[in-house]
Amino acid sequence: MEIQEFIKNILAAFDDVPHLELEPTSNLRSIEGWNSMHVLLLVAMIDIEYQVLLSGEELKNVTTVQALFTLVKQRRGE
Amino acid sequence: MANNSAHSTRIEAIYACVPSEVAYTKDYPAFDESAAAMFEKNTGIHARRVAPENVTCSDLCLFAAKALLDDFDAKDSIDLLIFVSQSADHFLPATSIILQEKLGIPTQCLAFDVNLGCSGYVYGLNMMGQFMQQGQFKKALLLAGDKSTISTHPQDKSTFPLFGDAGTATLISYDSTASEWFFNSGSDGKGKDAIVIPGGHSRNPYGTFDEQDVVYEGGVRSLKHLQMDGLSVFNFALKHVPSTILSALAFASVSVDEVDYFVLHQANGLITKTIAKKLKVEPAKFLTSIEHFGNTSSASIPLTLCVNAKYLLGNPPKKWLFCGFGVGFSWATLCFESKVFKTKLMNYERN
Repeated sequence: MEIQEFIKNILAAFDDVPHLELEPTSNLRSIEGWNSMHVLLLVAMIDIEYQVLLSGEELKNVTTVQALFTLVKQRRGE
Repeated sequence: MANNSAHSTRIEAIYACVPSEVAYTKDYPAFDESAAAMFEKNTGIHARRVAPENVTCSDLCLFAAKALLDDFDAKDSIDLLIFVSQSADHFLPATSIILQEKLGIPTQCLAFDVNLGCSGYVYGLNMMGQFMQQGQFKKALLLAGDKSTISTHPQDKSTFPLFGDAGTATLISYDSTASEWFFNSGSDGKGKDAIVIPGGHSRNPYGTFDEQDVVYEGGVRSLKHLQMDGLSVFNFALKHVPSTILSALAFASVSVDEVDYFVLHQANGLITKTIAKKLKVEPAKFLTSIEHFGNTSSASIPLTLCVNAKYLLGNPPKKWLFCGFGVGFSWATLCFESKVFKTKLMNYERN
């Protein structure tokens, strides 16, 4: 599991956000127009691409792309 | 999860009735233009139907049922009536009994209410099958629907733009030649707070709780309004819906590829699309109605069939997969093969 591919998948899920660029250190909640629908899009993408279903409790303290990537990796046992 | 089957039960016809009043997502004042566009793109909801204050779910079901019974000349032969709804006319008596009288159905009729939401239509079909297969009941009416807009706060962005109102009527007959119905069902009360109206019934009667509106991250609501934790519901759906579908298919000895059409409860478009991807089924096999009617609770499966009437036509018989899931949590799947059944979609008109 590679972080660049992970970022590519997030960008594909958020294709409605214009000119979005993400780095591992980017704060997801700072994305323009961030709302609860973005959380659902993330959860759906991660379930489909990485077979991990994240709960609200797990996502509560996640802010950066890197932290989310690490959480998914942990859940996959990598 | 529980598997059970039913035989000798056939759907003859499904009629749906929606209010004439249309509410468009783009006009919802709590959304700015980009929020409305994002909501519409991901939920799939372009518009909903909203019943006026003096029209109830039972009025919509009554309208559909009257037309259905007239078209099939079946009024005098109904011996079982089930009303599935979470927006009954009164705390008591049961709305099904009021509908028995309004429809002119004989008093020698077993009638009762079932208090289920989004899973309710498939539960209703399951109960119908259990009664009908004995051969002692010959014709039955399953009425399913909700007036969800009565309980959503207009400024709650997580519920108000999502739900629409609808009522449906399904005519079911005893038929010893009908193909077997295969069900898989489940319940999980850990989800009781994920979709809930906390106040106003026995646990928290009016007068014992603060009815004031409160602001929260999703907008405004009070304890007497429908509250929904969208992420919990989303997680529940992605976890349980694919597995109940696969369980029902295994029980019916039908492969995913053999199903002609999947008719899922229309919770939101993102859930349906994600489940299609998880099952590796082309999205075109998933029939929808959410675009023009929103989430219509227990009416969504029969309404979707009425909206997509062209898919019901032709031979040979088609393999169907119905799956209802939601409030409770509660879920139920039905896999069956059926010949053509008649459908009709109507706008409500006041008598």
